[in-house]
Amino acid sequence: MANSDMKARIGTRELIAMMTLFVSTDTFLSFPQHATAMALEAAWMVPLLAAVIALAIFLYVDNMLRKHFYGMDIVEVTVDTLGSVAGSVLAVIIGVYFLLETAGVMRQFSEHVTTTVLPNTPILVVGSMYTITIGYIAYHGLEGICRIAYLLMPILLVGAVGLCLLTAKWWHPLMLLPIFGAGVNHILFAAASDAAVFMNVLLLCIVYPHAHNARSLRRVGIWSIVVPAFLMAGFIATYNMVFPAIETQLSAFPLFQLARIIYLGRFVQRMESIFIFLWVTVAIVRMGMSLWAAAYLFARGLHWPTTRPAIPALALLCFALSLLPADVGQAVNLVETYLVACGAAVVFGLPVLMVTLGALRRRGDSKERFGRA
Amino acid sequence: MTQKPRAISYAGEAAYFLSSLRNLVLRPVIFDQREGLGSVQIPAWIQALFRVDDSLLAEQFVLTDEVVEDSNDPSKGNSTTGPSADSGGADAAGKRAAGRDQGSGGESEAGSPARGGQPDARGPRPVRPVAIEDYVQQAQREEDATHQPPEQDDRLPAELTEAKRELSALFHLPANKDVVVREFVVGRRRWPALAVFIDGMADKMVINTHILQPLMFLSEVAEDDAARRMEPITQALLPGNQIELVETWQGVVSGVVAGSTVVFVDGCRQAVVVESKGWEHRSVNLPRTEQVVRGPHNAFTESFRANTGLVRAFLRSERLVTEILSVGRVGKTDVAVMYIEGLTNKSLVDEVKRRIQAIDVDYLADSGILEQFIEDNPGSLIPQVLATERPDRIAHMLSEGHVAILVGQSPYALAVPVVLWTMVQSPEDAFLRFPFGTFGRIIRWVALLAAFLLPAGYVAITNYHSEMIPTDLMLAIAASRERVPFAVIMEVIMMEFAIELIREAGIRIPNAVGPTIGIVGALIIGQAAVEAGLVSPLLVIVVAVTALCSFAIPDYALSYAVRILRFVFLVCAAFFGFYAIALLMCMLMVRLAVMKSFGVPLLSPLTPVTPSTHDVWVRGPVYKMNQRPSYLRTQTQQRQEPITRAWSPFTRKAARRSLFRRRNK
Repeated sequence: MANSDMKARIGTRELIAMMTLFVSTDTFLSFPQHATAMALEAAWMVPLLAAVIALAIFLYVDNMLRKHFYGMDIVEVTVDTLGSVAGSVLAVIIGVYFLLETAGVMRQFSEHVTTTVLPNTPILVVGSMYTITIGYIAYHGLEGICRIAYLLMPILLVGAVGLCLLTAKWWHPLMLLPIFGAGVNHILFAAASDAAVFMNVLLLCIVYPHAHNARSLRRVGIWSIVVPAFLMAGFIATYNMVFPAIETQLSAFPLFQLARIIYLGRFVQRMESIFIFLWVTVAIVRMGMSLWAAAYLFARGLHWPTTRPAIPALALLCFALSLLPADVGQAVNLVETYLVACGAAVVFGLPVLMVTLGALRRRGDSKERFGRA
Repeated sequence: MTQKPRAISYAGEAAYFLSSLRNLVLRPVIFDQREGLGSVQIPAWIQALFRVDDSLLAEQFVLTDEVVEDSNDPSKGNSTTGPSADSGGADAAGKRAAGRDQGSGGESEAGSPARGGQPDARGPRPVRPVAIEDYVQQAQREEDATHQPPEQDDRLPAELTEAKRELSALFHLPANKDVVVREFVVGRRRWPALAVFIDGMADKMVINTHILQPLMFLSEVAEDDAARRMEPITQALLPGNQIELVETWQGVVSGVVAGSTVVFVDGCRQAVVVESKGWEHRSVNLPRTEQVVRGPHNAFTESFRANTGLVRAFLRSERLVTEILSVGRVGKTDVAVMYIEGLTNKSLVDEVKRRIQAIDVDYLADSGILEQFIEDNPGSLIPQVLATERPDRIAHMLSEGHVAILVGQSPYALAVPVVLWTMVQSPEDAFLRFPFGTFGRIIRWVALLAAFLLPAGYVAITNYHSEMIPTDLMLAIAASRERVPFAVIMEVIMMEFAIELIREAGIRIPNAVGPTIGIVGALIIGQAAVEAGLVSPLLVIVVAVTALCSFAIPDYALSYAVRILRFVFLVCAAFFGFYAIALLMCMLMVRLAVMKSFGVPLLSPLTPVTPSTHDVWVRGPVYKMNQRPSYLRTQTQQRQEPITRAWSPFTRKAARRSLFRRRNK
């Protein structure tokens, strides 16, 4: 692992920006639709509650890492606890998860492009352009991705907030009532099943050694959970104030639908094309990051000296996987069923399991030493 | 690898197959490429993509302020703090760099344990594979070096006739008419002597009045010992302000070709090099590409010493150091490395010198050529070195902690390292009050964006996103394009090409008619193209605004990059609209984000985030810019006192608040 990319050191602000962008991307995908389908008018509460769950888990994992495994990532913790084979297996499992997740996001965004911007362009062309770009970005390593995320962060914030405010003319706050939508049970269930969108918890456990200041990681985690949670909640609330919940649960691309209705006179109208820059760039960062994470984890698990030669091949694999679902509906269904709902086991389960096991083992070792003494 | 299997057996076939496969896969990497691969030729870029290249594992130079003690330098003692402490960092950087040179088969092999040098103090260096081709070349070089004929005696002879014979051989006399050998006798004792100089490079007045006249007519030398004749000559007879005694032919040749006059006296094994440079050059004049309304109006010229003097005139500091290196085998070119001792990061200075000293060329014509030899990514469109013709700008950058490089007779100086934001700044920003400087910068940023996105945006909107145009405007565009028989992209490319043509021709056309031709050409082409129905009037406006925007970019090299990128964006926008523009922007941004200029990330201090005064997007008030750019890792960070306007209650309070906040942090 002598590669300079393996030794990248990332500043706190860049990490916050990258993680925020990484999570916020779900705002532009099927998350609002899914949350609305489960909680109806109270869909805006879902990301907030999911964030609370993610935050609690993150704080637990971070606390354990600080206390018992300072400066170690989740793979090193597994190697330390269960041996190198288990560490390799864990790295490959998480790598595969990131790979599938990249493929799912790529398919959804490619479909968005073909349905909204380039209706006459084959998805093969659109997807291959995405593939080349994310491959290029992942090839430049973690530093490049985090820095580009930091540069794009203002675009995301201004774009998302601007989009919400520009539709103020069409807001109907009464459409958010009844306040608890489909019911508290449904809201809690939706929050629990959608909590895996806060994948930054897992990502933080991986990039932990790359933080310029490991002590600031808690700040990174908290900010990157809280900011996207409020961004998602605000966006979903705006969306449900403009379109009734019964309709929003049918829309696959809420951002486009909102941007389409902007009309502030003759000269500020039909702004959906401007927002292409927003969602395409954010999607690129998300996919580039998850592709890099997959390559990095494979390199860790399979003891490759460097990640770079694997990136073109993995990008191609993502593209091929993204084309497996027959249509966008099937792709969304697969992502929601397996990567989001069951993904919680990977995103939260594995880090919690590993740090708990590791902590117990270390405690046992210290007790044994104490007993011998 | 044309070897055939000797025995037909399964094991043999399997071994042969594996060997062939290994050759097929690995030969391009580790075997001699001259043997070829038969019908299978893998392009180099694919090889580079999938190969575990050593360069991926190598460390890139990173500007740090790490402190490593330099035990070889007694002046620094054991101190690890203070300004001198960074020297070790330089040493470490140099060692790292030397390591890279060794690995790449370079010539700096002195420290290599394999060559019998001293082993690295930090333990054994990992052995890196060397391609066979490089290995053979390296061996060839070593063999050539060992079989070179023994060097002739470089020392000067005592006899004047011998010296004259040597001079004739060295300077190809009498065929070479530029070199003048003037024989004369010194004083009444009539010692034979001769003076050598190059006609046109040396000042005749200096030679006549300060060399020949005192030696021939005004000398009264009592010394009769031939070996000590030079002593009274240098001490009493030559009134030149710079003289040097040399004992080798190399010193003689260097002096003569540099414009000095070399005096030989019979019986002496030394010669005197008298400074008499006096070739014709342009006087200090107005800047041609970096003009300002407010601020100094002088620019560098084609005189090396005048240029270094201009910088010194602006920055009168005894700590300003000018180190002069020499580059070139056939013709030597002086390269000055200027920095401020005790301020500039020493590892940066060492890295600059290391890169310059690594240049092995026949002749270095200009700073533009040196720039290509020393920059981090020579293939990148975005410049990583700032070239300026303004001495005041160089002086200011030196005071910030940059290193300046002046090359021979080049009227442009280089400053390193540089960040992207510097290239969009004008020297005038600092000379004007900060609201004006800020306004100018914002205009330039808008111009920069428009210069490479406006035509692409026009094409994308008209082709793919016409719904965002207000209906009236869309109808106007449609009406103006009604007569045009081409696609929008063809129109734009034609007009852009015409503008580029006018710009290029404008540089070559003689000055007297240049501006006229430029304006007339632009007007005629624009108007005629519209009237002929080749382009729409709106497009002419778009292209004209784009051209104006590109002229507003202060840095010439960056302007070139923008012009090229504009065409790339244009073509992509024609095919895929905003989608392709967004993708390309991401690729460009990530490339910029990882690029470095002499160890400093090109997008510093924005990302990676480093503490900085307000001098990136906007120009902050000069009385608040207390610190030097932290990405330069200077030895002293503070540029001025935190409270610079103590008499002013308005700024005093703000400064105190700022100071209080900083201390609390």
